[in-house]
Amino acid sequence: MATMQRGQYIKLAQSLPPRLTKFLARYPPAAILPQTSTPSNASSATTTTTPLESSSELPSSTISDLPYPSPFRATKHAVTGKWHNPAFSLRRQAELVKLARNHGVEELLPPSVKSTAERIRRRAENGLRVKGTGVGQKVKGKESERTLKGRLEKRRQAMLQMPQMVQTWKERGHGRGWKKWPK
Amino acid sequence: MALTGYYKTLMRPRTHRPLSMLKYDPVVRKKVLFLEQKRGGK
Repeated sequence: MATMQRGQYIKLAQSLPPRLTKFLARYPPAAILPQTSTPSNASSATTTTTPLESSSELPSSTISDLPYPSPFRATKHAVTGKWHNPAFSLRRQAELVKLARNHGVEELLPPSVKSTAERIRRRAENGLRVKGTGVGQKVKGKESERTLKGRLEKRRQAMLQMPQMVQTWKERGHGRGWKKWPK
Repeated sequence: MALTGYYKTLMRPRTHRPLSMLKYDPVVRKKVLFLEQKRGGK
């Protein structure tokens, strides 16, 4: 099965643009990596970059499988504690993800904030650009918007009483005998 | 008095009784009773 997969992968690699193949050769996905080399590499990776911390809240399970630090994340240096920028800037990440998506191999890339799944998740969380359309979001609104319902109800009640009021007004000499002036 | 916020400004002699008239209110699009508000007197 592995050989068949390997053949498939070779065919796939031949069909991909060189930019993607270069990236995948440099950062092979966990599915392609041989099982024997992974533990040793992983152990060496843990010794060198143990306190590797991810800057985003993406699931880190896939990251821990990989023998290399994710090229799409900022990493903290084990010794100096300094943060280093990801190997690929957000712009280049987006370009790679777009390229991979067009060739249907997006799942081979390491997790990125520019990935389709992440974008969909963020869209669901934040909603549309319009404030208040995300999950659990509320908008305070202007005072006129907050009090609109109450004012409309008051107006409705006043309009319901209007015919009776006009009748009384007419009976009392068109305002001559009117007593209830508004303040 | 339809509580729409629409109003009219009129002039009257100081000694005249408070004004009140049926006028068109464009908010509710009807003729409604307008009562003088500033001099809410007896």
